[in-house]
Amino acid sequence: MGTQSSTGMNTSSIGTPASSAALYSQQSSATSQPLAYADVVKAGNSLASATSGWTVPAQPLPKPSYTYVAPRDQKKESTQNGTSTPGTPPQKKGFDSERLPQSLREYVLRAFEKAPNPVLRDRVQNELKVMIDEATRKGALWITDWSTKPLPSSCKDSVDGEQKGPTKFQIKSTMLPPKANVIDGLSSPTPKAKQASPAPGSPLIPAKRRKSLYLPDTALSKPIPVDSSSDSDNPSADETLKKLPPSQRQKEIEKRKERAKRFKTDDRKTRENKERENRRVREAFLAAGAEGNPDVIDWDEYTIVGTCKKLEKRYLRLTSAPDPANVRPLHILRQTLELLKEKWKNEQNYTYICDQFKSLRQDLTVQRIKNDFTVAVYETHARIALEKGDLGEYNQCAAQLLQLYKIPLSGNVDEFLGYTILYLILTLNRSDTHLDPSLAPELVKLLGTLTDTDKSGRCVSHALHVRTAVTIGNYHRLFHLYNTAPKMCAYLMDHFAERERLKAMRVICKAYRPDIPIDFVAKELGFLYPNQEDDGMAVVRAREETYEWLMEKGAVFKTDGAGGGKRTTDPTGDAKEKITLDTRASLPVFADLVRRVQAKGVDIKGQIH
Amino acid sequence: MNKINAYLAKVSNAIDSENGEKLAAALRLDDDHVYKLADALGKVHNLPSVVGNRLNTPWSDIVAAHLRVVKEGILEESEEQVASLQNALAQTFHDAFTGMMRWTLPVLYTIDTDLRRRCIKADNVRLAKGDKARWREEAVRGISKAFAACCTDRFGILEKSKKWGTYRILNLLLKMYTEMNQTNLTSTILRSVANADLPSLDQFPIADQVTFKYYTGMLAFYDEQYKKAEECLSFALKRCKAKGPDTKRLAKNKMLILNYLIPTRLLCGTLPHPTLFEKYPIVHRLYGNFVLAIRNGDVRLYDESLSKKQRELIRRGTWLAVERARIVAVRVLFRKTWIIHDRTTRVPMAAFRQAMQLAGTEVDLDEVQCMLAIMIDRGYLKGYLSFEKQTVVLKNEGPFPPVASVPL
Repeated sequence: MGTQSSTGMNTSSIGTPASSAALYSQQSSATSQPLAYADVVKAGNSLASATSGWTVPAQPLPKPSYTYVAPRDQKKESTQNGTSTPGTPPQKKGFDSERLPQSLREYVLRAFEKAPNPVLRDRVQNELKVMIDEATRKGALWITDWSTKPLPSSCKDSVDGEQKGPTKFQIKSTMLPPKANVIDGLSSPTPKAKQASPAPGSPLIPAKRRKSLYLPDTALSKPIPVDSSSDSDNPSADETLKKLPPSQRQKEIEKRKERAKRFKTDDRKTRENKERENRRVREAFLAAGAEGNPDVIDWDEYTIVGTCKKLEKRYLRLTSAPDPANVRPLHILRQTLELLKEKWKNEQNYTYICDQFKSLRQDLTVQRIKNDFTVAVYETHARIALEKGDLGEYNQCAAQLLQLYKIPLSGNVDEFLGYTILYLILTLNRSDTHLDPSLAPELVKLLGTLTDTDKSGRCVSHALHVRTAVTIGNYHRLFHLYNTAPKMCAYLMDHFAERERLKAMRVICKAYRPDIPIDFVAKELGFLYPNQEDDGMAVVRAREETYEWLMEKGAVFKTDGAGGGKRTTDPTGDAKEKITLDTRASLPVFADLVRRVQAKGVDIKGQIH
Repeated sequence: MNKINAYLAKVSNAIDSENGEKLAAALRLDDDHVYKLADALGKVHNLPSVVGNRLNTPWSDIVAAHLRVVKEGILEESEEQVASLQNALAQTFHDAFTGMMRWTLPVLYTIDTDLRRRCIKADNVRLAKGDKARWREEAVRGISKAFAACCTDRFGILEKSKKWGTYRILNLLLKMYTEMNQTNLTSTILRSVANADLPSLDQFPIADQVTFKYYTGMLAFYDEQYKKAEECLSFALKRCKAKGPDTKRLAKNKMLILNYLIPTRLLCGTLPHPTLFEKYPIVHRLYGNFVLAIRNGDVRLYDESLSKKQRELIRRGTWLAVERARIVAVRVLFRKTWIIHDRTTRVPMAAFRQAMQLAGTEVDLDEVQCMLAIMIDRGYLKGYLSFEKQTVVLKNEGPFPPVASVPL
């Protein structure tokens, strides 16, 4: 837990540039008003040292939306002591204690005590700001009894156990000034947004969140201009440092120095290997989570830990920082997965399940949990989606899984690699037997990366055989593979089974004359399973099914078997055994169907038509 | 200082006498002057003015920019600096280029070629660090401008027009797009060349022609337009010089062409002459077995080679095409079967199955039927299958049309 002291509040002195916050302001170039104001303040104050008193600017000032932030070097001085131990009280700056009620100061400190974690802090600050603004407006600032007022509701979401930030967190005076500033309307925006990094090592609220306190929402996404001269000596590092939130920059610089020291003693080769390994892992990790900032190494500071205990939760797209109260921690999520598996087995309610899984995945992402459990969740969801034929959802899960496997995490790699190959096959829009040139490269690239061990896996080798069969147009082998597909491959193949059947029929109608028995079609197109050929009942069933299918397509039949015989399009019951398919007449039917199928494409989410 | 003056004198001379080659050499990054001037450059403080004293604009800017590349990039041994400064040089030059004449083309080539090489190096540095490559894109942007300047040059006298540089720069761009795996972006520049008012291709230097045909052939290959690919690549192969001052590079070029040409020809039904493989052992290693398999109708060997050479062929971008040529091997096998059966019109299906077995592939009768059906559908076999009689009824004359005549 961080330190507070009454002086902490003091040093949060309103308007004192020296002590200012980690909460730097918006770039001044945004509007001209703040600039002018800053000049005024600067002129009026001496900012040379941290201990300088501050002066009240002559004019009554409007409540600006920005807060003034001290130049970096001054900040360092003032908060240097604070870094070393939590127990060191911040220095007393000349603070007019009449500005804020003591009880309010204490109230604020108490509130922050309850919020060690960045997200909570953020929320607490928001609430405090709102409360204090209100009170000011009503003129009730001094009247309210802050000592008995219940703490902001956000504080109640205090997390236990799993948090990682607390020991490093220190309630810096730097946290508080913005609020006080706002209240008194004395804050001034920085002329140049020199970031004020508080003592290195203190993980304050990440840039984005801090800004949200004072700035209009549009400001949130804008980058912070940085005075690069104050940063490390290495010119190229400036760029990457700039990407970091200011609070992290100093830390990052020191970390780099440490890292560099570490590497000096290593053998060059091992160093290179280590770096390569780190990079690879980092990239995989990033890719799996799609984080924006490539240089943030210490994830701990940004991890949110959930507190929600409810197993089930509906999915809501996130529009702002997630509320830990709504996020389920890992141990709850584990139970959730089991529950969902049971429910799926018993109820088979896909809309519900899909929704639940999406929120489950969301909780995992928000808490940056990437482990075997994550893999299990994605795999389960993918399989369920496959079962229901939801290719869009499947595709999302599969893409994530491939990234997770690279980290590396263990999972059913063979299975999902196989699915990937099949998925690529079915997204190819084909003309005749040829692959669409623009899509084939992805499949070919994937093939090039498969190792021999990969290829020997059951699902992968099956998928590869399918690919070959589809490319060559070997329907015989293809439907055999279809009927002997492992795991859930058949669900994927379902999506191109129809297309391939039409193509096969076209080939058959082209090649065979004058006709062929229905049973043959049943066998070749996979309506009859490979081990059922001697099973009389199965044969009849397959024959029926094939008839249905052919009739539906508009095929032309013949009665009385080969050679001669009447042509008919509607075979009636008893004569079915003698009915054959008239290949010459059926050819145009299938040729046309194939053309039409190939004209359709694949939509954005990965669904094919 | 003297050295610099001497250098500038040479440059000035070249400009005055409109000697493009000499000027290009003075601006080339692997020329001697780079290291000869190293010391002198270190001592000079205000390069632009030193250069400006001896040369007029725009050359003063250009030469100054080049010297900056040397001083701040090469001598500092920072690849990214070099790329960045070379980019700046290219920009300066391209801006001035529109007002220049044909004699400056060698300079353009030099600057842009150096630009490409240096950007590749810089990108490799970035990739090694874990950053994304970005220099090549910058380079392409700049070179595209130069291309536009050449292509649309309006100078009245054709002899002196910059149009003569179009194909050379176009080829450079095609090369870069290929390296960046962005061949989809080539269509725009190819279209502009096709629509531009340029002299016909055969009037351009043969080197430009061959390179251009190579790239267009390669692009057609990827686009599965094999007839067009065959045309372009054959031209390139034929006209590509085999002997010269730089035989090694020429041989390499020939092999690059052959890499695409052989699979194309396989699909079109032409097999390479054995002497070809003797001349180019690398190509032999890659495609030798496939050719043999097709010649003998050895489907098993073909399949085996497909899996063994898969990785290599994928790397060279030709695996898909080779896979597609498999049917030709099947066709040869089936044709042999027919011949063995005295070229009758009715051959039992079992015979083909036997043939497949003899060739080493174990297939059941149904699968053979499937393969026969495919052959008929594609047009490699003319005839039909009689299910009832389980025979193949072949056309009387020419049941196996020449592969070249079968539509792909």
